[in-house]
Amino acid sequence: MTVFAFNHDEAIRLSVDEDKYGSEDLLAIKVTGDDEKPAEATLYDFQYRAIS
Amino acid sequence: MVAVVGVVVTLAVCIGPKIFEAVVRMTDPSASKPTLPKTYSAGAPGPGCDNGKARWTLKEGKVTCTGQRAVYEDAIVWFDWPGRAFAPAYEISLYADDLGPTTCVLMLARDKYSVAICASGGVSIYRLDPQVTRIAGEPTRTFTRAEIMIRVEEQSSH
Repeated sequence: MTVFAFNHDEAIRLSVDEDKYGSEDLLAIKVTGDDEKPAEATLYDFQYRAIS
Repeated sequence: MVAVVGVVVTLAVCIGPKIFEAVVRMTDPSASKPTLPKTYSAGAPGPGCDNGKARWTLKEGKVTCTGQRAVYEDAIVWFDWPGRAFAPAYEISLYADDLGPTTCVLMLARDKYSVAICASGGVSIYRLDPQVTRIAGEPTRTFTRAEIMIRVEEQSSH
């Protein structure tokens, strides 16, 4: 699994090679924060792309 | 009738100075049912926000649709497609804006990994099974918006 995260002019890349992948055909998105106030985020331009 | 194909996954796990390598065999879950379309886009990703064929399920919290955007408040949303499997390798990209100072956006993939992007500064990958373990992470500056791209792939041979 590789993750790229960009914010402003900064890009972070993480890669992990693992022992086995899970099989669930599900993706979950979660927005969370500290417990004292609600965490909020505006999400847009979601794209799924199969890699052949 | 659809044949179930075995997949060989090569693993190399780096923990501290040690590198563990092994090969495991597993069943390819996508071999028994059709996969999602090659691409799928949602301007506003959330239940009631996207009119496409994918299924968005609110499991917790609140999601408000505002035009081509979805505002998540302490929310957990599942994305799937009934009767269809994810491709063995795929990418997800998503934009997140208006993050509060302590807000984190997490994406769960393959029922085993969680990616956390936190506005207070940090990007991490967690393994969820058998317990939550941080397996990669980098600090960042604080931020209020991010473009997130996740690439999930496995090596296979038939």
